[in-house]
Formats: sequence, C-alpha cells, structure tokens
Amino acid sequence: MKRVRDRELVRYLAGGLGEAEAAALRRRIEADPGAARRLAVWERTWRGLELPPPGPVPAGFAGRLRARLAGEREERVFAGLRPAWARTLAAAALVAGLGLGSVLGFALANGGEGQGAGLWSEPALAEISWAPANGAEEVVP
Amino acid sequence: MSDVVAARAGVDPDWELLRRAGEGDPAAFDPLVARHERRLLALCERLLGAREEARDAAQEVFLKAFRAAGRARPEGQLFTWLYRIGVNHCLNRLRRRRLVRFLSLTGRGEGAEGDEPVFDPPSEAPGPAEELAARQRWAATRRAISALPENQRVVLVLAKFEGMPQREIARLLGISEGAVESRLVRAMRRLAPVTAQGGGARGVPVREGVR
Repeated sequence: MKRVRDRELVRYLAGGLGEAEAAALRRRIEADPGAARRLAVWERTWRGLELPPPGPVPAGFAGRLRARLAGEREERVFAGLRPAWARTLAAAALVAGLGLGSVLGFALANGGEGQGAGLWSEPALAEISWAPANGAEEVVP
Repeated sequence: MSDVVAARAGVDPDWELLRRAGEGDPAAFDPLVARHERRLLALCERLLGAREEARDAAQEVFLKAFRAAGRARPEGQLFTWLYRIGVNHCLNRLRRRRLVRFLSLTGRGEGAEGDEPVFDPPSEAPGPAEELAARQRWAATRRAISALPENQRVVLVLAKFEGMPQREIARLLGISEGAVESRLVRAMRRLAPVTAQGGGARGVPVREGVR
C-alpha cells in the first residue's frame, strides 16, 4: 500500500477530502503506524489551536470610514485643481521674470559712463591699459 | 449595471455597489460596508493578533478597495477580492512590524520579539477557571502562530480559523494548491513540537522538505 504523505494528512485535517477519499485515507493510515502517530500529534495540535472569537464591529466604524473616504475625495478634487493653479503661477513667474529682465537690461543699456547710473559703474577708458593692435607702442596713462 | 442585471450576468452585485460607493454614493456605501466589515475585521484580527491594529487595518483595506473601485475588474465574489487586499495589507503590516523590530536599537523595544500585540477580549467561558484556561490557550496559540513565517501563518489562519478550502486559499494568494499544502505541512511541523510541550505529547521533528 502506498505510504501516507504529510500533504495528505494536512488535507485530511483541514477537511479538504471528500467522504470517500477520507475513508480510503483512514484505511491507509491504519496500515501505516508512522502516519498514524504523525496524524495523532497533528490532530492534537490542530484541535489545540484556539483563538478568541473575533471582537464586535466597533461603534462608528462605518462612520469613520465614510469620513475618511469623503476626505480623500475632497483631496482628489483639490488635487485636480492644482494644475490650473500651477499654470497660473508659472505664467505669473514668467511675466515677472521678463519684467525684471527688461528693467535690468534697460538699466544696463542706459547706464552713464563712469557715472554710476548702471548697476555697476563701468571703468573709465583711461583706466584700461591696452596695447594697440599693431603693437607699436603701449599707451600707459 | 443594476443588481438584477449583475446577478443575471453571474457577477456579484457587490461589485456594482463598490463602484457606486467609490464614486461617493452613500446608498451603496452603507450596505456594502455592513455586509463585509465583520468578516474583514475578523480576518485582520486573526492575522495581526491585535484588535486595535486590526480595526485600523480593516479601514485601510476598505479605503484601498474604494480607491481601486474604478479600475477593478468584476470577477467572482467581491469578498474574495477584498480578502486578497486584506491579506496583502496585513502581510505588509507584519513585515513593517518585523522591520521595526529589526531596526530597534535594543531589540526589546516596541514590537520586540515576544511582544507581539496580544488582545485580551472578554471570555465567553462560563467560569473564572475556564476563562483563565481559555485565555491561556489563546495566548499559547497566538505565540505559536506569531512564530511562524508569514507565508505559513497566512495559510494556517485561512485554513484553520477562516475555514477556507485549499483551492480558495490558492486562488486568493495566487499560488498552487500544492504550495498551500506545503506551507500547511511546514506550519504543522513547526507547531506540533511547540503545542506538544503543553500537552506532553512527543513533537514531530521539523523537516523542511515536504513529502
């Protein structure tokens, strides 16, 4: 007779066998002392596993869930508006940047020579040492 | 799709309720939650072993389900799908708990080994002696189950305490029935010596290979 496998024992224990299959397995177990011993231990273990009955559904469970769900939905709606906001903000930043750039450019372009009209004063030509292109003579102020 | 149409089409009408509840229909939300909250709470409580955490977990599971309502493909019983979300969510919580334990500097801080959250519900046993005995059995079972690897723990809880057939467990976890049996065998081999210590029976040696 085929040896009883542990898998068959757990299937038997967990009620996974039909009546006929269970009866056939019991006959095989009777002829297999090792399997009978294992089954006895496992049956005791299986029956000995006990947990308390699950607690009742706490009061307000559904209400809390509904509130959380509604909160999430509002958040989603809010998030849906965000791209429009972001676009507006980006456009405003662009306009502000362009404006600032124009002001700076204008200030630089119209800054008087050495008069401090620009953001930084340009050095007077006299302060610059430079060699003429032909290299004939170096002008030193 | 109305309930009648869904029922005729062989689809669990709860799927339609889920879709409507996900869109904010209170008329769909209440019956759906009322129908499934008890079983879902029980599952979370058995897997996590902590009543307060189970309540929080069950809420998260419902929220995940409602979030996914628009994308979910109605197939079979809604509760099987909810169960799957519940099992995965509880597994993640158990893993997070283990990580917290691992990261704990002392190793004996919150969530340390042997400090698995244990609920202490009122007993339904008739007398004080029986009540004490029942509490001791529950605590012993909780300790024994907590010591199992998560994949074995889930299978054992589903088979023993949820009374689920192996085929359904396999479908739920996305594994073969053979894998379910293997995990159950391993769980029993680990539990037998532990539980036998109390009862004085000889334990079965632990072997990882499954015949």
